[in-house]
Amino acid sequence: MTGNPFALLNAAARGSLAAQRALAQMAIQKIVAEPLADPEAVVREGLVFARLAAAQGDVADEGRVISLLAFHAELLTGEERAVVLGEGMARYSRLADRGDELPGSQFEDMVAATEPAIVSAAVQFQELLKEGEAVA
Amino acid sequence: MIFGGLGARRLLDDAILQQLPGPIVGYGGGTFNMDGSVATPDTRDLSEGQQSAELPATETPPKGMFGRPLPMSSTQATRPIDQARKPTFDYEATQAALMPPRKGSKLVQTLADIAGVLGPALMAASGDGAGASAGIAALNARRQEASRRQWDTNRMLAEWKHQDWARQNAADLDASQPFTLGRSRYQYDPNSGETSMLQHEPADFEDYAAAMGYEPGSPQYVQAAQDYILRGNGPTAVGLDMSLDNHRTNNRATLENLRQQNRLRYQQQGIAGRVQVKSAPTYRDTHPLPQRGGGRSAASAPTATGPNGQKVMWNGSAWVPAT
Repeated sequence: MTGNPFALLNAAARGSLAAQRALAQMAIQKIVAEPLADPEAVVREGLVFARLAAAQGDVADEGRVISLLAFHAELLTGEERAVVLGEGMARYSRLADRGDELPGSQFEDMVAATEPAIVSAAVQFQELLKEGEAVA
Repeated sequence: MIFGGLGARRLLDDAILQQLPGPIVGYGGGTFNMDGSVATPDTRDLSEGQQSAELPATETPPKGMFGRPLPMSSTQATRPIDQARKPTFDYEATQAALMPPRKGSKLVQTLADIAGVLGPALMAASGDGAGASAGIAALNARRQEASRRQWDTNRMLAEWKHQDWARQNAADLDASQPFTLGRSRYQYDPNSGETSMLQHEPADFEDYAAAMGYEPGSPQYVQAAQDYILRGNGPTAVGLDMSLDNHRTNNRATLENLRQQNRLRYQQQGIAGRVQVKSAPTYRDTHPLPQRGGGRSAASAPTATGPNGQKVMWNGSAWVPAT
């Protein structure tokens, strides 16, 4: 355990980016540090805070969400995995739309190398993300 | 067993084909009838030709553990019966399952691979190096665990598969040991399930009949074979017995004829003799018995010739001239 997550909840609930990042990072540290009976639960909880942080717009927070999604996909198979990877792909496509694409990791190359089920899930997530940004 | 391990069946096949005389069947080399005609055609030469045409020796990529083509799999591909019934142990597939894929060998990375790098890279690009390294560490730990488990599973499955294959192969090798039945040497082919005769040694009677110079199947050959089996009761012996009996019978008949002729001759001589005796006057004929005198009478007085030749008659007391 790398700290008390409850101590950070107040700040995170009031929108503190640092607290949300710390909670998401805490989930990642926990995965690394300890052998877990149910790592997926930790990943899901970490993803909640990572998504909150990413909603505030920082590229690093999007990267944290994608990292957690990638780890989540490692734990899943079949359709569930496709959905999780689809969200990651949709998030990267939003970054690419904004021009924050990483050099050497073109979104088009990703699409070409991806299974159709993941791409179709990504398209739906893209719509949802777009609607979410429009609300903001 | 001089054949062991991989390709034993193949070696055995070649050894038999090169060394052993007699009808050979099975092993893809065609089946032949006893008279030498082809029962099933030889598919082996054709398939081997194709094999060498597809994989020239100079360009054959090394296969297996010892850098040469595996004999089992090369013959395997050419024999439909093997494909249908006998899966061999696939060392290449096992190796591929056990060894991790080489870096860069996969042209297409999956999105999971990309995302696992991309997320930390985004964090690092935005200055969150600690978060990035933690994310990568989490992913790596998970993947190492998964790959180790995968490797263990693959290894266990490969061991099971190899045990199955080794047991079957040993059983096949045992079953394919040549065995002797009568005067022939047979071998069971586990692939085709048929038993073929490797070599036939002639029986003693066949040796005998062949030594007499007869063609198998000819009447003389059959008779010689029967002679060898039946010995003194064989056809030849019986024929000789019969001719000897005929000879003796003829001799007896001739002798009987001679004896009968003699008998007839003697008989005829006897008859002739008796005829001759009867026609000649006997002593009694010439000397009849004297009259027995009872009542003497003149007529019946004995007479005799006197000293002067006169006829005299006994009158009871003196000789008197007969009247």
